[in-house]
Amino acid sequence: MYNNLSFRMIFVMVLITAVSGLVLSGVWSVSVEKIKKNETIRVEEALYSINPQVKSFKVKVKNGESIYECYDKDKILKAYFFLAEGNGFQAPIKVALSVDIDWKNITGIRVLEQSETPGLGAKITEDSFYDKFSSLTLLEKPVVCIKEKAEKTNSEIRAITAATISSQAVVDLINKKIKILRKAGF
Amino acid sequence: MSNSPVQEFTKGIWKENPVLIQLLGMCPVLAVTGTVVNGLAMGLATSFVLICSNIIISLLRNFIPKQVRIACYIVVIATFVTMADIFIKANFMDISKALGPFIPLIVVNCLILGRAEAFASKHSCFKSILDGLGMGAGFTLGLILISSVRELLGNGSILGMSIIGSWFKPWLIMVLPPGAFIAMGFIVAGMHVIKEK
Repeated sequence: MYNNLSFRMIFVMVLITAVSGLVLSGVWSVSVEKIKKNETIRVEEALYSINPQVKSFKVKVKNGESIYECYDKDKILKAYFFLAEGNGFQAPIKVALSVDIDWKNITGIRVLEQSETPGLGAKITEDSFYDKFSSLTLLEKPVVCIKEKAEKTNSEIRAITAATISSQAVVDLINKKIKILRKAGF
Repeated sequence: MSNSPVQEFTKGIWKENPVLIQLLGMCPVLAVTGTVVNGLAMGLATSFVLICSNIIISLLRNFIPKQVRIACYIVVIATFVTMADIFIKANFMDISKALGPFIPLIVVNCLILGRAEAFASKHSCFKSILDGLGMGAGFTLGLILISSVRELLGNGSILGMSIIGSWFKPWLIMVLPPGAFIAMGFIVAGMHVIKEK
């Protein structure tokens, strides 16, 4: 009797887990392509929305760092585009950034991933924050995040009220990534 | 004493509402109700898992030996949760990012295991579906109620649309974790006032 019961317990559990595994592998194999595609779609959407004049791009890898070279309709290099990641208030922030070909000005930014506080840090995904970055000058100096009322120079960003940490985090991860890319030879 | 089919459905929405009366599955209730979209998505995902696991568990209720029932329930629940997680990742990228780990964490939502153990393992498939639908609807409505209050007071909007004019200074605390407890407390208290009348 006892053996009979143990056998039944093992049999039922093996059967349930096997069916579960089978079903899940089916669902996964159907969806995996779509999930991967979602990622690339997001990146490309950011690229084209920052640089409306850009019609095509090419990924270039140098010293382990990759960058998107953006071309307009006449195949002229218009901008560089790259992804940067760093720590936010609680979780990592991932942004897409575009700079002009001389590395003098930032042309635009989009936040791809963030889990900042809704209503506070999450404001880094709003257009008003993106706008602060367009035509920001780099001048070999890192971008500075300030708390004063207005930006004094062209390489300053005024932090979002009540979201200084998130604003600073975005600025820091941009500066870090630009430094790495310049070092890698871009 | 056995409930009629209609009662099996409606009890989850009002008399035994999982969020407001039973206070089950509080972790997602407090964590993801900052905006209505997140609350709604969480409610629907949980309802899907609840209904599916109720069906399977009620069908298997005479097949699973009672010594290993909890382990079997968890495997069934985890399967549906993973399916929901993959589906949301493939089709609603933004929601998946916003809800983060809370979708996979539906596995340990005590509402689902609670209904499996207390209801689906003892009742027919039909009644278990009604129970799952009712409890799922009750859970979703509870989440929508709390997230509406929090989004309205904390951000001046519902479903991302501005409702209150710009004169309104949002109460930022409502979208922060303490706001979840405050909103929850007042809503549960209000619910009991209405119920006792």
